[in-house]
Amino acid sequence: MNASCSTTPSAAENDSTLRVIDASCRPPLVFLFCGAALWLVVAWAFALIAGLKFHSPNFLANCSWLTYGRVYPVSTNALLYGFAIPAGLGVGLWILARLGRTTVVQPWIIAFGAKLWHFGVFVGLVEILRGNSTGFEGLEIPKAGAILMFLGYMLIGIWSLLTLYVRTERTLSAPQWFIIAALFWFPWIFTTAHLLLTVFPVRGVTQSIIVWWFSGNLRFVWLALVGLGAIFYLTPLLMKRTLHSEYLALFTFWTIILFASWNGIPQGAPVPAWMPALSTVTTVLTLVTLLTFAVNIYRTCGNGCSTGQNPVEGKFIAFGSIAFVIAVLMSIVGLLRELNPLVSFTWFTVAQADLNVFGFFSMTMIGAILYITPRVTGFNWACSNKAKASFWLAAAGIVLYTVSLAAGGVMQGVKLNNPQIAFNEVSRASLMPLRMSTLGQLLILTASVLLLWNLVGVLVRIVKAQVNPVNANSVAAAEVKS
Amino acid sequence: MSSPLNQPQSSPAEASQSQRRGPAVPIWLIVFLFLLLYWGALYFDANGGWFSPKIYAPYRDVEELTALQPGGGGNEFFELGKAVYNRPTCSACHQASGQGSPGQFPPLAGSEWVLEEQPGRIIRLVLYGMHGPVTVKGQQYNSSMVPWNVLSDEEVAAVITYVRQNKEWGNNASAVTPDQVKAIREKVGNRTQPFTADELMKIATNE
Repeated sequence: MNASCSTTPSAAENDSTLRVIDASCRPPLVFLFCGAALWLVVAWAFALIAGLKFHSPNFLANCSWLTYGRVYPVSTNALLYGFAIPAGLGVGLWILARLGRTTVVQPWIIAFGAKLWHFGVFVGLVEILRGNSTGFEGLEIPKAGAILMFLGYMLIGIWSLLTLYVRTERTLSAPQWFIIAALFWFPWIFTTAHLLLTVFPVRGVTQSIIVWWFSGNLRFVWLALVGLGAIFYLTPLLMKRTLHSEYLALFTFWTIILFASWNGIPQGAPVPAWMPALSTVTTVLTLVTLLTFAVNIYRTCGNGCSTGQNPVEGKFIAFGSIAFVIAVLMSIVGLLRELNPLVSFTWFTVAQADLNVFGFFSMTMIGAILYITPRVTGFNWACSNKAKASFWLAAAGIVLYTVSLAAGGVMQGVKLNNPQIAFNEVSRASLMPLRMSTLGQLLILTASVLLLWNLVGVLVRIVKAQVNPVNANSVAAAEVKS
Repeated sequence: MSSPLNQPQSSPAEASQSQRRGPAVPIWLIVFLFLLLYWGALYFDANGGWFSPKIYAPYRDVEELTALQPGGGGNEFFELGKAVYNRPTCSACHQASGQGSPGQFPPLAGSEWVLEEQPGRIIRLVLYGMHGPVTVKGQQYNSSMVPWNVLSDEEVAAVITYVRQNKEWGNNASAVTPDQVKAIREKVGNRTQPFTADELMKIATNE
């Protein structure tokens, strides 16, 4: 292993406690992360197919399994349920174990839960491709997949909470609040939404309200809780400092719980006016979440976040933090009564949603995975150049994707509001931004493939170590020393 | 738990609780939160419709909503009649102004046929049509009117009410109810020929 590999665990945390804790996380995290990385590749491969269909409508048009209406939900569901949630659960479990200074309780049950979850996602995505989607945006996975996913989640969630229960460090700190709240939040919104939409369906516009409520809670609460929890834990670790202020973090926490849970009902939705009005107010109130978070992280980094000597996982996390700020600002801009007509029904909303899910959450999680995996498995990355390349590819990809779609969306909105311009012209003018966003998707897909390659490399070495323990252990030990 | 777990903590992020809490929330942030809450209250007051299930965007309160409804605040029956009149069933010949066309189609504004105290003749005229010479406001007309028995009782009653009560035309007679139309439909039965003026004049006005 050469010296340029930045993912080597630092001497400061070479203490045996953390090594024991990390080792206990190995089975569940390997299952959660490897599956997540696989779904990340699937998500962006399908996103690329869906994106290509906008400028070459004949592409794969003759196969009903690969039509836009099936490919697009597969990409969004694979990203949210395949990558984001398992990655978040894995990172959350590791944070709970580390901050509680305890080993994971019965790690193989959590690993089984991870398998169950990933199998549920697989069943759900195949069902969507077969044309059996539920038809609710963000909740397309039908009942069969959803039940498996829920059972898997319950195993992971309950055993994560048991790990929390047996902690030896009794005082809870900031990242733990975020993770614990998120652990409870998902089963609540997921079961409520599924019960009211697929099991005992409500009628009429109430369905849309439930879908918006669910998506809003998943994107603005669950992802924010887990993502910010990970950032609050990992940024101080990487900067070798303590978190600037736990009180500010508490403020961030409560503003997410109290305000962001109302987000998600779009302006002008065909529902009683108090719903979008209240949703707009709470979305603007998340400015406070944003400020407390930004101040806290800025001060933690010591007034000068130099990402120059930052290891690659730090770069991912810094990118995620900045993307969170921009994504929240974009969601506020998109809802204001004065600006809403310019961006509603355009690509701007897509850019905002994907910046939130990928730019903020997924980038943070990839950073966390890069940080955690070598420590948990004892194997270093096959080559950290691959990790570096995946950062620059993913960062360039999501920037290209978001900027082109956001700018294209505003131009589209300006043209849509001008009655002199025919609708055909408006659509044609959005072709160039769409082509650029497809290029961005291609870059992100390449980055995802590199991440999967890295993780599979680690998996192969774990398997080899099982087969031939003596030899592999000495290799691993040598790597850790170097 | 295994023994290494009880060893002292070493990395900065794992430092002891007392050092970890850090400074309190700055006051400007709390002031900012309350300013935003104040703005939020104003915004909700202006746009939220105070939880009324009837108010949808882009309307903001009940007054605005009712004022912008078609026929809002007026007589719904009269508005239905106006809609039927201008479909154009009647307005094609008698014009939207109710003045008709000189020499071709008689006026409805101020017409003695329209304003009779009992509406029996005008209902028959509308339902079954009229053919041949007729005198209206001292002028002779000779053309024909098609039957309108395809309209429902309610529509016929509404359109006659609209014509009889149209203050813009100077008309002010009693309203006609769907029951009256129904009664006459039953009384006349399955007639295919339009009425003539003479025939109508023979019918007593209260029948």
